[in-house]
Amino acid sequence: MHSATTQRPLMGFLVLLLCNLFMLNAVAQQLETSSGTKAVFLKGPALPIKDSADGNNEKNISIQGVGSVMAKYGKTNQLYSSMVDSLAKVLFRYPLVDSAGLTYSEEWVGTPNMGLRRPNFVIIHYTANNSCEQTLQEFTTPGGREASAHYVICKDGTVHHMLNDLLRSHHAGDSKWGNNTDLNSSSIGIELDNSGYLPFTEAQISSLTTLLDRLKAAYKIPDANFIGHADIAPARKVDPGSKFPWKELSGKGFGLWWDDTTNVQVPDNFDYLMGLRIIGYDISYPASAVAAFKRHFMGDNSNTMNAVVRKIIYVLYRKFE
Amino acid sequence: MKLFLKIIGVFISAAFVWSCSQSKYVATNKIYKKQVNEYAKLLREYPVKDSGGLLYAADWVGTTNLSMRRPNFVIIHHTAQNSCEQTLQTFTLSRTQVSAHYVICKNGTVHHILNDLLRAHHAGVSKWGNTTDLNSSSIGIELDNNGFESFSEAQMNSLVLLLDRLKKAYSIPASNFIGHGDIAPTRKNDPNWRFPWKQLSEKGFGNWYDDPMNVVLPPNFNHLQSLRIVGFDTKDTTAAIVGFKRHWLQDTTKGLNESQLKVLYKLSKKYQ
Repeated sequence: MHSATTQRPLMGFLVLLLCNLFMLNAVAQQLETSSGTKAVFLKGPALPIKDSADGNNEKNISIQGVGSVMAKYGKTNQLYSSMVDSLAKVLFRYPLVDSAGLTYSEEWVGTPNMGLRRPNFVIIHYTANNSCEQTLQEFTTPGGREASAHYVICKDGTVHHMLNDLLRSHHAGDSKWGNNTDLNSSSIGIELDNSGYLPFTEAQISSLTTLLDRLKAAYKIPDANFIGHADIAPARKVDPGSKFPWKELSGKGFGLWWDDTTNVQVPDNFDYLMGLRIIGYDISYPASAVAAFKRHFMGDNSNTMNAVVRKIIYVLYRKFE
Repeated sequence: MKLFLKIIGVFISAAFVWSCSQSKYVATNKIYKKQVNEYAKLLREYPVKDSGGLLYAADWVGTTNLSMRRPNFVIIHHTAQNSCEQTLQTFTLSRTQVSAHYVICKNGTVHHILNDLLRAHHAGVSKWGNTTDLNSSSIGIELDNNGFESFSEAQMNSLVLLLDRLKKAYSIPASNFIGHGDIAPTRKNDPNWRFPWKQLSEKGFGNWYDDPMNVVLPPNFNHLQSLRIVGFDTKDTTAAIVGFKRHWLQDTTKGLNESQLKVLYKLSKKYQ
């Protein structure tokens, strides 16, 4: 922390430095256009300054000439990059050698065979808000509900990619699917702007399909692992609701669906709760699990159980065997 | 010119002495750091805006509510090699593309060879429940063991301390401490049948079944459903049964008799 008196000359120096950089950048760009050489040291987006603690960064930003992006969400965008920066630093830490009383080897050996943890599921939500703007505000409020998603898709099909796919967003909450109890760590969260009562727009579903296609290819996500928020938290959540076109999406390879059930004979001893558990549902509250299943696979908001529901559970569970 | 050569000579011999005093893993440790650097850069990249023909918003808005992806499972392996040294060599060769987060030697020494938050390549083609990318959601621990022998006390002590730390750090549920043979039953049998799963389950690492003595199996009991609920991939039923028996009955034979079915029944109750 700087005191008020030392802060001013420091700021002046920073501004001067940035001005110089800015001019150098212009020179470098000219060089690039004239001779084709690349000024690597000045390439890339003009990132906000990350490690200053004085909160006056927006002045520096305007000097760098990226003012338009910074209009409303300038401050929170800066917060984003400084948070990502400190998360990335965690990776640089050498494996700890002093914790838990373990006998660690004297010399540290690292492996070069590694990667970044990737998503294996896609969880679809609706925002239950009145506008995309309202959702953007919610997801840029630190210290509140601390909620977020990787993508927000507006009614007109506009996509907001709010978080790097490789980071963990806070969209699933307390949830379970099969034995997985940390869905945030293993999924991509997609929020659809929808109040919870209206059908989804064609533009929205068309953007969603394009996005799902990209995610599926990028992270090799299996068809079965495109699911809804209510599937993983049936006692708490209903989104994306009974109006979401799951059947249409399953036809494109996102999510599983049951086929024609006319000639299916359900074995007398078939236990439908075991079927639901195998599909992935948490059956701690059986009525909630049945309701979530019916909402997703039958577009029905009730939790009543009958032979038709049982048959559909049976057909679908066979696909998860 | 002579002086120049002399200086060069001194430099070369100094470099030689320096390199001898360094560990044999200096070069690969450098690769480690370089790779982590690349991945950190990847995280810092602003969300990509030009792919897939998506209608992206003109102004980028980043969220402020975020964290690192964490492990939710711990997968235990045996190395099937003759020494810890041999395993370290295997895991530091780029061409093998195999690794783990931890290697525990017979004397209890722990090698933490990869940051927990990164993805190690230990699971291979595998499945547990609906999860098909166990590498992304787990920590891999290799125990130095030739594949047939028992596990030493020192090794188990270190393992328990480590599991305790991991369980707390990442809130890993008791049921999610499993073996490589569980998630890849057609290909793998590690850790071998001598691994003390019951002892570990008493400490909160892995599930165990309640006394199956007085169980009356329900008429609609379906053992394949139960195996699938526990987490096994039941595409190859014989392999799933062998995997279950190795882990929960210390038995490497095929097939299930009445009393073994009762064990499976009791075990599956823990996963509902």
